[in-house]
Amino acid sequence: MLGRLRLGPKLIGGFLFVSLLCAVVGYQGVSTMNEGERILRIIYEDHAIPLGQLKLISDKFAVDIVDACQKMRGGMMTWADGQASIMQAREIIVNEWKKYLLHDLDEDERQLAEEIGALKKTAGVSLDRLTEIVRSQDREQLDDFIKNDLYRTIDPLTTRFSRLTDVTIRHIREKTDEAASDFRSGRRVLVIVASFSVLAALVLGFVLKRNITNPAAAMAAAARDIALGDVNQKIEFRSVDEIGSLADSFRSMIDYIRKIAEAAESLRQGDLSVKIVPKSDKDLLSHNFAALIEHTAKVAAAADALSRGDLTVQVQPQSEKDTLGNAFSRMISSLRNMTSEILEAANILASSISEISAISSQLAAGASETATAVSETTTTVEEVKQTAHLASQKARHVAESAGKAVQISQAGKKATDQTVEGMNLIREQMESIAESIVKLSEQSQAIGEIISTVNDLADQSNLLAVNASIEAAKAGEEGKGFAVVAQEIRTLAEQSKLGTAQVRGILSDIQKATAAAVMATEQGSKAVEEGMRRSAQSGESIVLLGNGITEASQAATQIAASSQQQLVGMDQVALAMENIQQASVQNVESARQLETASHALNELGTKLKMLVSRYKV
Amino acid sequence: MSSRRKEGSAGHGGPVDWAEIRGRLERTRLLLEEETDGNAQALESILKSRAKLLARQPVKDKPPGIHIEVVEFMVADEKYALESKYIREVYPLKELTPLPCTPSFVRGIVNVRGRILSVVDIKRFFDLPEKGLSDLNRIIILHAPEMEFGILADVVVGVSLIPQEEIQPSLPTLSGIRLEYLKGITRDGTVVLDAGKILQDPKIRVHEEVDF
Repeated sequence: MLGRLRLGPKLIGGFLFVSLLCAVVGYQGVSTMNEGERILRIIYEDHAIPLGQLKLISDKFAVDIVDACQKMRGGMMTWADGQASIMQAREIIVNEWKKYLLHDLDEDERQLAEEIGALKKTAGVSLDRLTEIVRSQDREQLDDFIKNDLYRTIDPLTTRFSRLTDVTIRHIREKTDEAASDFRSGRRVLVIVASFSVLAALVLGFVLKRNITNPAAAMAAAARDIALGDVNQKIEFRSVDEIGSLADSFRSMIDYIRKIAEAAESLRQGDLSVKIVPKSDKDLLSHNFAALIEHTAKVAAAADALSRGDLTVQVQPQSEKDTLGNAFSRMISSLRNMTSEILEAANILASSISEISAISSQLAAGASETATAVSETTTTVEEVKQTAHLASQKARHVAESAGKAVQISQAGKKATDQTVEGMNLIREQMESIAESIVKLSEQSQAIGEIISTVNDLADQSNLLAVNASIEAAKAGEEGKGFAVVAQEIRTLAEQSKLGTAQVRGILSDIQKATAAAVMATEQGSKAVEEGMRRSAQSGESIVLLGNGITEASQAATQIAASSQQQLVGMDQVALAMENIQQASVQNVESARQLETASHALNELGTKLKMLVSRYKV
Repeated sequence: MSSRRKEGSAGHGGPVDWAEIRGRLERTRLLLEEETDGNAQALESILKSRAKLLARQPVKDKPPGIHIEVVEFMVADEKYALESKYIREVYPLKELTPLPCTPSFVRGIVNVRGRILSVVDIKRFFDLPEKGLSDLNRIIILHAPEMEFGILADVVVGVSLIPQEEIQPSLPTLSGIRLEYLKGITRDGTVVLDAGKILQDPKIRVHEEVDF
């Protein structure tokens, strides 16, 4: 029954049960106490108080009335006091008795009370008489009464009262005993109930403890084993409470770990088809595991593509530390580079081979051409031999002509020497001409000075003429002739001035002409110097020419000798050409073989190219 | 080389004919000798003809009307004339000494045979604008009983007679100092100045005191 409840209700129920037991025990104790109190109150109210009242009544009879009688009789008490005391006593007795009768009396008590009631009626008559006596203050009667009536009426009453007191005390004892027995039975019940409660609480505690602790301990043990890596754990415990749900979760956790482990196992065996479904968004392990599988699958797919020759695949490394991804991506890139290089090399190889093939064809053609050329050359060599013979004759002629030329060049040298001497003479003449011209120029300068003096004179004459005319004018009619002379002088002066100007112009022309002459002479002198230099140069050139011709004559002699040797050499060349012709025939054969081989190579190159081109880069 | 030389001589008109050159020189020498010695007769004839001309009696062909005798001179391409009766003489300008603290028209003083004369530039005196270049190497010395000074001129043209009626009155547009000293203008544009007025003009007297 407890297994159906959750842990909270279980605990609360247990505590409620224990509390209920405590309440029962408490109630039992309280009700026992109440019973005891009730019995004590009954003892006090129904027995102890009536006992007191009885005692009071009895004392009133025995003490007050009797005592008052005796004292009055003895004279120790006045009549009035006695009467008051008796009246008071009687009144108290009546009141007390009435009160006593009001109590709940038992059967035997009631019987005694009735007896006492009857006796009291007689005692009442006696006491009335006594009261009369007292009022009359008759001592004798009083003595008499005391002797005869008093004790007779009082004593039975006193006896009855005493008996009634005993009965009451007996009742009290009975009641006390009854109460004691009630207390004992209550205590027993209390002890039994308390013991039961303690027992029940202990049992409940034990049950609860077993219900909570045992499954927890079992799961703890399982968890410890899982922590050590043993996933094959079984949790049998089932319950609807929290422990039960904990056990459920534990089971699913073990299941989850086992699934991951199984997936890892199949991964280890290389099976990439396993699927890991994440339990939730926060399921980091599953997510990562799924990503790992996916990544591995990608790498595997890339490897597959690589195996099929597709080098264009890309593998994205998961991180910096992704050794596999990084290595794979590096491998692909290096493979790609390598393959493209191979492809390139294959292309180059193929093209080179085709070039070789073409060249070898050309070579073959060339070899055959060479063979024909060689046969042509052989005939040419024969012709060259003839030519060499001719050249040797010509060289001899040249040597003779050179000897004549040397003589001519010596004559030329002498002529140029004479030219240089003539030039020297011309130069000296030129110098003297220049000097004469310079002298001429200086003299014309002196003329210029003279002219300027004449000019000055003409100027002054002019002024003088003007002054003369002024003076003539002053002289009036007498001076008229003088004025004409003065005018004439002025005219002369002006003419001389014009003349001097003309002379100055001519002088300037002469100056220019002399300057031009000096310059021309200078140029002539320079030209003569240049001519001298050139003549000297030509003399040297003629000497050099003579030397050159001498050398040429020697060379021609040597050429004649060497062309003789050439002739002999040409015979040897003809022989060699024969050998070359044979070799070139062999060459043609080899070239043909080379051509065939290069064709085979070309086919190989094409195949290689096809092979490599299967790789997609 | 030789061909170049040939070309050069060809440029000057072929080879030099020395005989011809010698002939030309001889002729020149003879001509020169004739000029100095042989031409003496010719020279004499010229002088004689001149003497005859001079010995002629002056023809009484005095032009009708009154004439005034003037000395004409040039100042900066303009022709001026002054009556000769006011002129003592013309003189070449030498050693003009500038005189400080005088009006600008007084160019300086000059020594003429022991007399110290002031020299006046009439262009400045008439407040005419300075234009054209002038030599100013002649002095025309004006004189009056109480005044004597020189006027600067470029060229003294000469003495000539001008008929009185030929002198036209000055232009009415002229005013001021020029009108005051102008006698008139001849037909050929000569400006005839009134020397008498210039000599009597108090403005020509310089009386300035300068505080040093």
